[in-house]
Amino acid sequence: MLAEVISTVFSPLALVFNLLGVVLGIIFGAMPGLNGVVGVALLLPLTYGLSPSHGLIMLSGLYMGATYGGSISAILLNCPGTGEAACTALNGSPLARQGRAKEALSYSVLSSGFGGLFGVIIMMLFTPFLSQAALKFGPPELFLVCLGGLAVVGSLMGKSFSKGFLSVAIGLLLSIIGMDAVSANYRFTFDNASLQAGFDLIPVSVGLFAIAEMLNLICNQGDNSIISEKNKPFPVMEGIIGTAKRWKLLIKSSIIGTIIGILPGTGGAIASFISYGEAKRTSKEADQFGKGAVDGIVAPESANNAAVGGSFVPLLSLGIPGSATSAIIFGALTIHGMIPGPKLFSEHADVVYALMLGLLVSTILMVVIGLMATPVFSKVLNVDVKMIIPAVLAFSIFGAYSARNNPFDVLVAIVFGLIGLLFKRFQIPIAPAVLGMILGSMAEKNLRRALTIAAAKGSDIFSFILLRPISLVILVLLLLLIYGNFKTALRSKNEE
Amino acid sequence: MKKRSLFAAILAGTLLLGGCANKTTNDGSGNGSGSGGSAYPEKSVQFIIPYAAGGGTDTLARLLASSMEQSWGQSFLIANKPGGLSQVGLTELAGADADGYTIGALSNLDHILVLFTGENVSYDYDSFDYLGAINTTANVLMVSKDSGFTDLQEMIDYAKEHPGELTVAVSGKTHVAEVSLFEQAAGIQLTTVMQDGGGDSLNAIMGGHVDCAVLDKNYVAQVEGQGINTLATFAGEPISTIPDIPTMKSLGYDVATETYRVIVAPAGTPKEIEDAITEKIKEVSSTQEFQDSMANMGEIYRFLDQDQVKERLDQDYEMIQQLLEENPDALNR
Repeated sequence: MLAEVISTVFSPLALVFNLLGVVLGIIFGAMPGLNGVVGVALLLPLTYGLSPSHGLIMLSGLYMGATYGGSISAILLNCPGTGEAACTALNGSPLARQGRAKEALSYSVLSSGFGGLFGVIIMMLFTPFLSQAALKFGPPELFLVCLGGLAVVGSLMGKSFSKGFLSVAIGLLLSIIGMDAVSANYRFTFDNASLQAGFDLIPVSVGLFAIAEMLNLICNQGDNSIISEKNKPFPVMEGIIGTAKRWKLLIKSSIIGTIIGILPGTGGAIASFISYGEAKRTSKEADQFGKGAVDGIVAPESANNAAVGGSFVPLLSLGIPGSATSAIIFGALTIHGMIPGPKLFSEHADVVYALMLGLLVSTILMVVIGLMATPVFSKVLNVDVKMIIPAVLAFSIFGAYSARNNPFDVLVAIVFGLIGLLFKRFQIPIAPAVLGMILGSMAEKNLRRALTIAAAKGSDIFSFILLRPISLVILVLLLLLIYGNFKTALRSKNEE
Repeated sequence: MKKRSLFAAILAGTLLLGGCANKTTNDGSGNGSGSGGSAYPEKSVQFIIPYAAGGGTDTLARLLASSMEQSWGQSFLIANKPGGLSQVGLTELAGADADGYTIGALSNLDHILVLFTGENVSYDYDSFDYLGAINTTANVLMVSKDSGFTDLQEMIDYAKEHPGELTVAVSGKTHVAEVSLFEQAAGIQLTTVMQDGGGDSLNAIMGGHVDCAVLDKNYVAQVEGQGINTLATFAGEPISTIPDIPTMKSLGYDVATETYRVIVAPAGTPKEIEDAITEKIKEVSSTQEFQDSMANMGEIYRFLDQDQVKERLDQDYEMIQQLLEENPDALNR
């Protein structure tokens, strides 16, 4: 059967679909407002006519490519194309402005590649075991993981404690607006029908990141291109050596990414935030974080691509999607009458293994394309900003609208663009707000589920959490993480 | 193979961002079936789906829209307008011109529940004309491995002795209503734990974080051989794809809910256009190819015309009204 799978995956047609998926993925990832979810949803109907293996190879290649693609616009334009790339922008953009865009892009694609391969290999080897382990994560455990994500805010906030907390508080507040996910009642909607559906992450983050950055460029008149310095050359070999030297960081971040990817309802964005915080805590160049630290690119980029493989673990073995993108890939399986679960491996083993092997090939294709395209991508920096600004704004508006086909979201994106500009003027960091918005509703839902279950069982929430071994372990890790992040933040504050 | 490629040709056309537009051109076929002399449709029709892409209503509506498009030779532009249990999309549909060029799809119980429990709902039951339905599906009650229940009676007996102790994973108000109806029928009290969707509920029940879960019938095959018992279906009649699962009714508990997707138009749309749409739905959905596609998706085909679907909806409406009369907080938990 192995020979059969290999011949499927390496057949010219499968390679073409794989390449198409990866290239489209990189493009979708790089466009502000578009992401892997949109890309996979868009391509899904096309795959109905393909053989299951080809269709899945294309979609999962797109997922892999999009997870990396977000870093391109994050580095070059300081407009992270996806939530996954928000952390990458923090260091990638300063590097690009120092003329080191090629370096940043090379590290991004190489660590994405490493993380991607790591996640897929773990998935190939340990899916049955890991999926059973993932099931042990119930509401209390997921709540604590969310708190862990929020704990890294200390690493994101830059110079001022209060501004960092203000930003994350705004994000958390935004996550409350709309329909309460537990009781389905409305909160803070002010009788406004548009607010009843709540704020979608895409228009808000497109506004805060991309539109605000473009408005900022408009305000800083005088510059014709994004960087005044010349792009410094960066040989590929140097990138490979530099990446290899960071093997410890790569492995640690990839493990974080894979684990977060496996947990249901999470995804690459949370993985990259947590690994970024962890990298800052332990990195030798911790003081350079936020100013152009290579470690600050390597950690989130390897983590978010590792989460891709991770998210397939519960999908294939149990039919539980680990992320929004893999939820759509679930649809691609069922349309062919394949039901994810233990029987998938016995009845459709050829398709499952073709998907797994195909993902390995996708990752390699992604690295090759990324490295080859790096010189081309970095030319964007020399393009006249008068061309860049309208293009980015147009894509941002388009992306914001397409999230829910709702004109209200265009307004949301524009308003948050202005708010983002204010953030920049007052030097309030933006990433914590996005982190707060991503984690706020997740943390709340899981806490309330845990409270409900605890109450039904006649227990209080504290003993409920403490009596579950996994939550206890996470709680200890969480306290260590908070302590570590607090120390880091305090240290960098003292150094200022 | 031929079936698959045809299906692909249909669906390839739905490819445009977020399903916001759909521009498959018809190459010459179509228009073979005149619709009572009416010139409808003369231009593209907007088809509002009040749910996100990928859900049950969306998948079915896309299949229907592409078949109607092929047959009529005019585009059916899918617009997903999710939010508020379909309230966001239906608000827009209710306010659209009643000329037949904006239609939509809805899910029966969600729609009725919004009418009873939604806030600032700008439309009512009579704001729409209900044109037809093509499927029926049902939810089932599953119990976790650790719970040890093998039939519904065991579970009910336990719940009677331990009021409120059993937890039930639900996703959406329809499930909440079903649990309330079941509680009423069995004289028990359960604790609902709201999840984001079926995948979440599945995780909760397989991980043993909850004792029971309400899930779509298609999950029955997915949990096979993993210690999860499916005790009963909420449907009034046995479901053909899960013949071994008893209905609650057959076990002596008077619960009968089903989920079906209804094609709707704003009230006041010209009668001949509405009839033409209903006729076309019947025509395209009765082909073998369409039904094979539905079967692939795990959907059960059942066509209801305008009168039949209204009658069903009226029954559902009364059922919810009665539930709320007996217990005004039944849906607020």
